[in-house]
Amino acid sequence: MTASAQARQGGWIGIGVGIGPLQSSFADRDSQSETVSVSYLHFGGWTRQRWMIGIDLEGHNNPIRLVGLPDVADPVTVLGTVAYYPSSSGGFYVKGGTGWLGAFVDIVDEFGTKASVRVGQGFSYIAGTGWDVYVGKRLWLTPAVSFRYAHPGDMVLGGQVRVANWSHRSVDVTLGVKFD
Amino acid sequence: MLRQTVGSRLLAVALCAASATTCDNSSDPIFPSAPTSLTSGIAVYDGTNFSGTSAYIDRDAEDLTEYHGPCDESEDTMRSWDDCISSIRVAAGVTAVIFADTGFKGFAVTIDRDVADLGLIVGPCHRGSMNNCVSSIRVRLP
Repeated sequence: MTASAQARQGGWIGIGVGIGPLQSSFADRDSQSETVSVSYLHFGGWTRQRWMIGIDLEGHNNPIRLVGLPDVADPVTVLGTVAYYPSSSGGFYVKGGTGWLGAFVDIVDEFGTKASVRVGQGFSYIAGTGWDVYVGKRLWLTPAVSFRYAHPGDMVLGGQVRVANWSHRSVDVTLGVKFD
Repeated sequence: MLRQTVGSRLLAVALCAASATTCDNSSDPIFPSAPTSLTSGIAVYDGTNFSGTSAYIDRDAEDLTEYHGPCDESEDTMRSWDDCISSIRVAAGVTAVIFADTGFKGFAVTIDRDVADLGLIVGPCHRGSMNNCVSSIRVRLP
């Protein structure tokens, strides 16, 4: 069965993981680079034959260490996305979206109690392309390449700016599974 | 309906009796205002720099939602001291442990000197601080 088997009705649920380089920029220090791993959960629904709107929830599997914070920063992103399938039957698509990003760190008190604190928040964009490949039983494999930009801004802890004006951009390759 | 314990009512009565201030006649527990000169216990304020409404506390307070205060979380709950403290005075020799949750649970910070702005103390609430974040307090007298 080929991608032409897409019913393009109803909705999809997808999960996936990916990896790619991430470049961070700051107002108070030099930029830094690292390789990050991301996971996503996607909910989508067909609006027309070639258009799908969705919500993507994304998190990093290896949170980012920033000097000035007591623990690694853990970005969590919620995106509203639109995907366009140029072919009425093929699985190729392009996708874009925007949404909210929060950066969290864990803090530990003197008694050992841990708490997760949001130290920054801002906007995020995504643009990418991918291909839905049918593997059977309403399951699809989706390799994709995405560019992401996010601007969490200042990381504030204890009322003080610990990291100034953080923004980051990344390109990652993901492999996901969709169920329709 | 708010849960109110007999213990907290007795505590409020004792606090009122021990202070020189006038206590509210309502049935809800209430802390007396902070004295001008703090010789024991702690004084908490809803504003930074020891400003705004104050309260004097000289023993453990397990649930600040039970004490009438200047803050309200919603229209359905009474105004209380829960998530309402922005600065704290501590009498000499006294130690207070402030908790982010009721029942002496959650993220906690030990205070052994005056703190004019809890917004500068690392915690789990707004801007990663303890400002407007305290829900229970342990008071250790010398």
